[in-house]
Amino acid sequence: MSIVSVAKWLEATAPAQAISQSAWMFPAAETIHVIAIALVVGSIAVLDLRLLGLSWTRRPITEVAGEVLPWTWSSFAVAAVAGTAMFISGASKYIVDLPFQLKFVVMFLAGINMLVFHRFTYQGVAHWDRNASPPRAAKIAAALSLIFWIGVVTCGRLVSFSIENQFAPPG
Amino acid sequence: MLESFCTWLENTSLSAAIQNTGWIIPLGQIIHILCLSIVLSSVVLLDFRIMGLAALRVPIPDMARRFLPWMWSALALMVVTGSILVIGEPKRDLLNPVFWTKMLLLLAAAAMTFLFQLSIRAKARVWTGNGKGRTAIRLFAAITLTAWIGVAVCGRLIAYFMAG
Repeated sequence: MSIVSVAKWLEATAPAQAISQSAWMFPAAETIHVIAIALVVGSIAVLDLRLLGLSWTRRPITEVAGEVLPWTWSSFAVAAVAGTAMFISGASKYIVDLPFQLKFVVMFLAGINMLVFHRFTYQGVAHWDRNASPPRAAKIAAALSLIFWIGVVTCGRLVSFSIENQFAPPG
Repeated sequence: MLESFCTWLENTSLSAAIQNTGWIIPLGQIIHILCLSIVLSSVVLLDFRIMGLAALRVPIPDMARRFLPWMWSALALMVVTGSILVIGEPKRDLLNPVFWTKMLLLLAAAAMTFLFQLSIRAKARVWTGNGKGRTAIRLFAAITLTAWIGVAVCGRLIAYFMAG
């Protein structure tokens, strides 16, 4: 069974059919997805810029993380649910779409970067929590995070240019 | 009138250059969305702080100083990229009621945010305090945030209400 046939099965399910046949469900999911991803990227950028030593440098890193990461995670959950709704409505088109595939590769890289940062670098945060300029490893992780998330948004925006969606004219 | 203005704009050499260079509109949209993430995250964090729902350890004037300069810079870049998108496809936007709704909400949201900024700057001592502010102020912050969300919603929905 190929991935495309799984995708075809998925888009024939009742929820997928409901979304693709509704005039408003896809635009609604897309609007929620855009707002949620904006909050994901904007909130993680606040922490990344702190780690880079570029903003809010007087504040402890753990406090900045405590304030923004709940926004990042909850927005990510909303973006994932709305994105799943959009995906199933046309799964067989998206699964073979290059920007869509790239988006998930870049998101995977963002996830790996985050895991490595939390598992290793961040364990020692107590030693540099109040430093305006954290160690190089933290700065590299923060720069990669910004680059990857900008990449996710870029690929996401390009998906609609490469997909002919009956409800979504390019743009 | 508006329609003939669109036709004129569409035929300017600037519009033609945008239309004929395939990557300008996608790139403009990508920058527009990245700036939206700065604007929305900034106003969400600041307005939730004013509502007493987030970052209570940080005094409101500190929040305003951290986020509003980024917010205004990103908004300025959104005006630039947005203008490029309008010049490239005038009829898509200028003949679209959702676009004008977005512009009205944008004016309201930006004006309300500016009022907050002026007040926080002028009366920093009053705004500094760990507790929650007056109900009226918290309500005003909620209205401001709703207007910003409305701007983003209309922005996305422009594509679904195109006239031509």
